[in-house]
Amino acid sequence: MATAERALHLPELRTAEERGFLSWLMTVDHKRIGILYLVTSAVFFAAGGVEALLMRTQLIRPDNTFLGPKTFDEILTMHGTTMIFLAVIPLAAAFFNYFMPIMIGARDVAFPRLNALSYWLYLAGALILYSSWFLGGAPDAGWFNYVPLSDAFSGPGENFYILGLLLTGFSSIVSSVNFVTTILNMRAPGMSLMRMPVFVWGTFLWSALLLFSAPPFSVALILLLLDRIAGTGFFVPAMGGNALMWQHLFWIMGHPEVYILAVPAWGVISEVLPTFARKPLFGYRGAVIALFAISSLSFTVWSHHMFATGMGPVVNDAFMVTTKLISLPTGALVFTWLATLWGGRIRYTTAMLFAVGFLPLFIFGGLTGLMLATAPADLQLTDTYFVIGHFHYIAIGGILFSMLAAAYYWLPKMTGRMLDERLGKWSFWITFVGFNLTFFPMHLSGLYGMPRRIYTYSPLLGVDVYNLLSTVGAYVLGVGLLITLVNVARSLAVGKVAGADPWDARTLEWTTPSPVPAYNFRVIPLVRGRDALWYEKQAPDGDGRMRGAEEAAGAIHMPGLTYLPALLALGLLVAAYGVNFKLVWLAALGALITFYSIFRQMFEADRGYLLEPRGESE
Amino acid sequence: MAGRGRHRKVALVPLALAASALLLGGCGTYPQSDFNAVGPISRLQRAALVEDMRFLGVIGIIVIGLVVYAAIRFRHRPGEEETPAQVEGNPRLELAWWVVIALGLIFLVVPPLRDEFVLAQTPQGPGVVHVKVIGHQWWWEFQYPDYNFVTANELHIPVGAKIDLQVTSADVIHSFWVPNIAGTLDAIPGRINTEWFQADRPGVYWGQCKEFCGLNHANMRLRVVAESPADFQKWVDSHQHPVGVAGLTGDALAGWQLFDGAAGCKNCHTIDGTDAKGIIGPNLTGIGSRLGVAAMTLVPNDAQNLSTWLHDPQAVKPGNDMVIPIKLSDQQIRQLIAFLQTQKTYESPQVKAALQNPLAQ
Ligand code: HEM
Ligand SMILES: [Cu+2]
Repeated sequence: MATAERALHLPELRTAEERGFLSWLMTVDHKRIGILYLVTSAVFFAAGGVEALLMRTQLIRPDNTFLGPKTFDEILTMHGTTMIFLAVIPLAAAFFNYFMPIMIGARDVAFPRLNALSYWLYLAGALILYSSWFLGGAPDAGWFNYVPLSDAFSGPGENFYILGLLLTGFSSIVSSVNFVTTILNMRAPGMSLMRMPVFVWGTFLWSALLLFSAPPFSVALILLLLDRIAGTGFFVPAMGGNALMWQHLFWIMGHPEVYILAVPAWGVISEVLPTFARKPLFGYRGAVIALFAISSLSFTVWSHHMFATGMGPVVNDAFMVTTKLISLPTGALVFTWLATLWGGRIRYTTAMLFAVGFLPLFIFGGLTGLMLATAPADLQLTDTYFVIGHFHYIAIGGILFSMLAAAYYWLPKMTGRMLDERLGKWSFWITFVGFNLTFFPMHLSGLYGMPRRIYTYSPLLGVDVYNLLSTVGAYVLGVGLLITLVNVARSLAVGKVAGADPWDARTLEWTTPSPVPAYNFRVIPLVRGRDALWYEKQAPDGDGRMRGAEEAAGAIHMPGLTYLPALLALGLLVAAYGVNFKLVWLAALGALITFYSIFRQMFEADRGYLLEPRGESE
Repeated sequence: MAGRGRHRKVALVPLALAASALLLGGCGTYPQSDFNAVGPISRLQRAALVEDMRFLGVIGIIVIGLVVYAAIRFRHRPGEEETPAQVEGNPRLELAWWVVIALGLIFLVVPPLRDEFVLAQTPQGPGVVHVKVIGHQWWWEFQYPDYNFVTANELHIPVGAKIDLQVTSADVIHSFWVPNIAGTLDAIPGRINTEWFQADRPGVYWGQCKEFCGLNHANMRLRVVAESPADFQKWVDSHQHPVGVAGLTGDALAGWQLFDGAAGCKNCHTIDGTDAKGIIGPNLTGIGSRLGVAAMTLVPNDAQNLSTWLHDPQAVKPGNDMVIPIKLSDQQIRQLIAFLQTQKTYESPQVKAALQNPLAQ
């Protein structure tokens, strides 16, 4: 009754968008949340990068004593965990958040508050993980955290790993639900599923993969937590538990995870290549089918990480077959991109350089992956530096390169300022050379017998040269990435004004002003073809501008600001520390805050506010 | 030394291409190389690896070549302002590449399917040697149930015989790997994994724990000594009739008394033929003839490396379970070393050579 009455009040009218520090804590705007994601993941990427350089410095020569084994193992664990869970997944989430709704012609995601919640959960998880450095030591059982090493044989840092990743996993589930719902329900008129940009399909499949893979991993984390703090024995052989069970649960998340990282990357490549080759993606339908095939198959291959665990020939062969099968749709994607370049007029902006540079590196990483999929060969290669070389060709060559392409492509839209092309090109070439110098030699050191995850090695192994090259390369790579950072800072200060469509591009985000106003579209667009904007630029009956699906109205209704999502995440953060230190009162306090936030959400009607569109024409 | 780890350049051609010439020219030996296969299992694994490298290498060169070609050929040149033809796809061409990749996959998938079954065979017959491998943080225990003795970090096998391995762990997951002879098999607590292998050439082959197992994962190394059946038999005999401590004199005797008493060594170590029966650390029977110290962390096994270890085991391998209850003086260390060096087993020509030069074969 009371709620119904309140809803009758008209929301207040505002003429300006949210400003100020507090508004960042309370925002539910998908674009500002995207920016939060971007900045946070960049910070953690830098942390992971510094950790990588420390490791490489220790390994520059045999028998080095720069880092002891304890520190090395902590850094090794934090590097892997950071890069996967705190840097690359959220980096994808940053671009999804900012661009997916715009690319489908929506004013926001389906659940703006849930969107805020997913960011704050991610931040809380990341803070828990990193606070371990100050609270007794970081986790040191490796990013895949095998039991029993991660159980009775490791220090207090493990709990931070478990609790931190529980929260980031929760965050992923929340954003997945949100993105799937948004894509299925919020598309502009005319934006049929098969007209969606491939990047939006990437968002959709990323979400689907996370939705199915995060839960089993969360279960595994909870079981491990119980083993560690409550004395259960789910993974303890002496208590009837099974040490291998962890590996299965981990990789049931961990392998789709690879595609969770890769699918957004492929989405970016599929947007950037057509824009700068000035041709549509070659074989859109086939590409979408391939993406679906890869995503489904990715749930059937996890045990290829476990060929050496003694599963027997039948199981090993079965996983060998499914794994190799994935290369069919993946290969088809590669040819899709190749055919997109073919016959184009390729303009080599920095974004395009990174996107084209992606191709050979990704192909190379895919081929070494096929070698690893051959079980008898893998029994030699597994857990050597060959694997490190292989997956960094995917992780950096494949994924980071496409994220850098995304940054050079989309940052002007987000900030309204261009990045410097000269600096960008320096950054690309130095990164490209440094990357190959770091990771190519690792294949060789691996083939010649250097295991991974070792803090030192004997000079007698004969792998000094390769390690020296890798370390030098890592610093070169670092310089290349630093140049991009400088470029971004410089662009924010003195960059050229970008305008709405600096690349003469194809999709809906380029029809909005840069940076995009809070309401995205003054008028919801009418989509008449795939690559909606390009369609209008090409159509004989078009004038190069989008048509509206509705009459321009006055003020636009926006969701209201709220601190509740951040509060909920804070509650879980506090509760997590309570569990970690076995402080019942702290856990109870955290639970209290969490439930308070949930109940407030349930009973508070959000009237939102009305926003007067900016004067500029579109 | 000749022949040891001489890398098969041919195998690398497709993968390493130009870089290999630069990187490999004149480099040293690789005792843990995947390419120096000396037995049926490692040969089979190498063949799978090399076949893949060749096949995928060719594909890589073609596809990457096409990408580079397209990237250069279709670049925008000044003056070209018209929009290129807007081709959205070509169903025939697309179908063609799905089919071509699928056909290629058959070559990639089918041949290795057989291999896993070869690896999984259980060898039978009188010539088979049974060994139980137990991983410990951070050393290896080898039990010979056929002969009733135990050794550590150095596995001796007769050339040409099938070795039947049962692999497990006493604590965390480790992984047993001797690339010249056979690929990896995990040592998992609560579970026994089996594999077999065989060495066709006498020699000393290097191996190392491959599954991350904590602080000193890097220093959990091992050697497999493959020797002639006659030499192997002598080595077994020397274990079954260990030298013991009767007749020790001088420093060696003093060393034994320390081992047996104040230094506390026997609480953790066994030496067959003496009353040292500890089981926390590696069995030290024949330590005087082993090739390295502390799971091959320090090689060779000479007085200097033994002394480094005994001075401060925690400095060499932080976190390991060896804690000496008293502070040993230099003299005591000398005495202990003198004693340890009397504890010899039969030394085949392979062992003698490797004691001189760790890289000798
Ligand atoms: C800045 C460039 C990078 C460098 C120089 C670098 C270097 C390294 C090194 C030296 C290792 C240790 C290998 C070992 O001892 O086993 C490693 C492991 C790893 N890296 Fe990177 N890396 C970089 C970026 C990335 C990125 C972007 C990702 C993921 C998207 C990533 C994911 C991992 C993972 C998962 C591990 C395994 C950790 C473990 O074994 O627990 N790295 N990296
Ligand atoms: Cu180990």
